[in-house]
Amino acid sequence: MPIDLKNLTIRKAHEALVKGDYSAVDLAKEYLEQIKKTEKDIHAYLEVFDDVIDQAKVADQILKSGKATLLTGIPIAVKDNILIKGRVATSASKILENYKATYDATVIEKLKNEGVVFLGRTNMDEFAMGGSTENSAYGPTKNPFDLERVPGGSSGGSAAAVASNEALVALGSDTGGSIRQPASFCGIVGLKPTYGAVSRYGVMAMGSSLDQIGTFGKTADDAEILFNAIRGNDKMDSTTLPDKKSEENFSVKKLKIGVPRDFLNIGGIDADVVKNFNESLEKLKKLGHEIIDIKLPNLKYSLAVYYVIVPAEVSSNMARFDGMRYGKRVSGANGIEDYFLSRQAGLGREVKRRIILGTYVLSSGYYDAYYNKANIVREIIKEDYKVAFKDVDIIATPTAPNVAFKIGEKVDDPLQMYLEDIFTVPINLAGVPGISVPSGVKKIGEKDLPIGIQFVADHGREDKLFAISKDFLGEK
Amino acid sequence: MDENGAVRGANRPVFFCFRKCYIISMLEIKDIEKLAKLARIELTNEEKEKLLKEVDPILGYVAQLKEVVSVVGEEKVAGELRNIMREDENPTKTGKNTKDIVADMPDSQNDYLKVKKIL
Repeated sequence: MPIDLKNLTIRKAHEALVKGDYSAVDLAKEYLEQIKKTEKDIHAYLEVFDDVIDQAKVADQILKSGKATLLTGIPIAVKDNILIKGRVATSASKILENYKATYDATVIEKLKNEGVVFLGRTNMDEFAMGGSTENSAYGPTKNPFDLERVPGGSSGGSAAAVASNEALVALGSDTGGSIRQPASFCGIVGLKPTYGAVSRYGVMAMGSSLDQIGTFGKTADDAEILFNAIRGNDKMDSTTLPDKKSEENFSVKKLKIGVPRDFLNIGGIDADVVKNFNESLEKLKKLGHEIIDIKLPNLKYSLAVYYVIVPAEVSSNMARFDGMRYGKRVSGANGIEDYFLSRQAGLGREVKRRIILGTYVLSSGYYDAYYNKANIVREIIKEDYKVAFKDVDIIATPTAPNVAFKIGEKVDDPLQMYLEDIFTVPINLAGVPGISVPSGVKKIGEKDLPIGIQFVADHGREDKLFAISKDFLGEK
Repeated sequence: MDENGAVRGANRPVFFCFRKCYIISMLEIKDIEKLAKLARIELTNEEKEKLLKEVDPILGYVAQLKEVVSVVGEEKVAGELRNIMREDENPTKTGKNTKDIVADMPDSQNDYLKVKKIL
């Protein structure tokens, strides 16, 4: 019996697996079959693992023993900057071409304990730097809705895999929108949890004060189930938050939704995206929620803050990739030259650009002018949210100012590319959680290009995000 | 850059709007060369030219922060910092991961990382 992958959710698959309608091996085979059909066009994966069926057999044993969880036997795709012991992890960079992880990331360990099936590692912008997956050293991923367009990024491979039914759910990482923007471009749900909600032990660091692992699914429920499986305090990551349940109850049917109108009038936002956003607000009103105009006066400085803090953190985090202890080494006349040549050959254009920028903003005499100032403005942006969340449960904006752009369209203009992150970046700066859910499409020619709406909640209030997303999407 | 690592030109006037930035160039090729040297990256001449063209507008864009801070004032303290310590307990048994880690090395000999001589 063929499995309807298009409408499959974790709960449906779990029910079928427990009832014995099909086995985890059957399910895995179905996904491998789908990968065979569409992967040539999409290029979502850097590697599809050769032991998928073996993993599924183990899952079937767990199912048989009656100890299965919701995730046992569920086929998952993993972004290539998350370590799985014994498997290659490249972050889509040449410098890690043959690097094999020597330990499991905490999120991977948690998922292994539940008996998930890892299908493969997904394509991304090199070291998660970018918003289109075009910065991969192994070629771009294509948008399943239009193969001439980008899937977004940096977690573009994970988003495209879920959108094209090459995986049921996927893990990504989000530093300035790298989960939410590709989710929006690919018409699926993508969650960036609260900073500190999920352990980053075993994830390659990019902007350490912003990075967070999150989840992709076709439904908010899938994104939630996967999030609940990976969240929690971890002694291996000192930035994880203590485990505690949020105490405050709220009415799912009547949430206060704030809309920062002044921030939306900033310019450069596609008219169809604005129209769709306003329609979404009407829909939310009809569902019984209250829409309130709010002000977030300092959000307009977010990108300037972000593009100081990120390069600064990148330039330090990337210092370890020098061709010495692991990764690609290019031999020069002496030891020092080895560093210069290895980094020249191993690192891509955007990575070098950010390292140079970061070196500049941290250089003596400029640290204060850039990095310190950026941190001060970051505090002001946090304050904006703090004030806003006294009055509202949720803040809504479009996820991205435009639908998916064409491959190659913005490659030569990094500043333009950065401006695409205007709605997603402030959320990382404040450390609050955000989710992108599909809200409609823009028709261009024959293609329906997805548009997403972003919901943001206060620290630790992912529960509100899932509640509003499910209500918006009509999930039970 | 001067001998303190400071790059010339960073105080030149800059004008902003959201979509386009009109700036007076802040960097020169030799600044890019110095930054690349600090970051230990070899660059071709073509790469240097490109970087100069790309980095300059970004620096121009982020320079608006100076003006924001001059409005809100410097008294704002950035971030709350605290140390989080943990006991160094249950250390990994010596040799447990050696094989895997050595396998990742670009060059090794008898389980030692091999690099060129330094002195």
